[in-house]
Amino acid sequence: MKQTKRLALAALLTALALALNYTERMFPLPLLVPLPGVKLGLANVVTLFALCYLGRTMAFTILAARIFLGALFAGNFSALLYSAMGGFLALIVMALFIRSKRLSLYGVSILGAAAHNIGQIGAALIVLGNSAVIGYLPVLLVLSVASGSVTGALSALLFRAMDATKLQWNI
Amino acid sequence: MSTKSSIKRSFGFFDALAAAFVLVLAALVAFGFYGQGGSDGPLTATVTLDGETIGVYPLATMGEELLLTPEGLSYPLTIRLTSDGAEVIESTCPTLDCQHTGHIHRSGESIICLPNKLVIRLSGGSGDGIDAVIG
Repeated sequence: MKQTKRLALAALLTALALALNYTERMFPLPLLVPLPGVKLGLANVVTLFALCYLGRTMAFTILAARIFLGALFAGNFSALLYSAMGGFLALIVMALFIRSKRLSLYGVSILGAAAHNIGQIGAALIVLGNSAVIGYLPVLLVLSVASGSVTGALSALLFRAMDATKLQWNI
Repeated sequence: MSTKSSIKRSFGFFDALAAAFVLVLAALVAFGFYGQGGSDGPLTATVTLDGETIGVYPLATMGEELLLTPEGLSYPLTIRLTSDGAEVIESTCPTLDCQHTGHIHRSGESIICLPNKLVIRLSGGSGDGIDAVIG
């Protein structure tokens, strides 16, 4: 029963992450900043939630499922490497800094967003075989402070709501 | 599974430090990439496809504009080269980031089309072509 509950929760969070990933494409951010890989990273809220409440293994599983299914639904497997390198580097960095206990959701989220962009630039370096792509990194890093703050604020709202519910997960 | 996470919910000093660290990192990368000034020689556009150079165009000596439509692309596009820079004026790629990048004109700047694995990069142009000014 416990396993079934965990599986159902992981599936629910994966679906939520996919929906957020899809929804944020409606924001005209790439029109304002025309750089490859520019996005808000709302799905990171789900990763952060999974890391804090469900543990690293579940967070990893949900992220892997979101990246694979996202590429499958979009019919764009060439983007898989970018999502995977960005997503997993962000997960590793956030998992490390959550343990430090000094940073809040904002700081962890900002560092996760920055790591995500570094991972994506690393993937672009591999795919393009051209160092010109590093020229995009400074702008992407500055934007990651803004996008990380937004996802950090959303996570803080979510976590406070979780505190108020006094939910008994029993999983 | 825990019902409450111990992570802080409010922005604090160490969060500001984390943001500052990312901004300093951005400045360092920018300085390392753009801060060395243009390389010697006239402003030149280099077009690479899938890691291989398919054309080198000295822009400073270019009289009229030159329109390029590289072959072998998954998503055909048109590049316009002029004496002061380069831009993608038309593209069929799904993201259109290359077209939205607009006109580039400084050494070190580039236009990247990820779906096509195509890069247009400017180099040179550090000097103004004048050896000395006297009188």
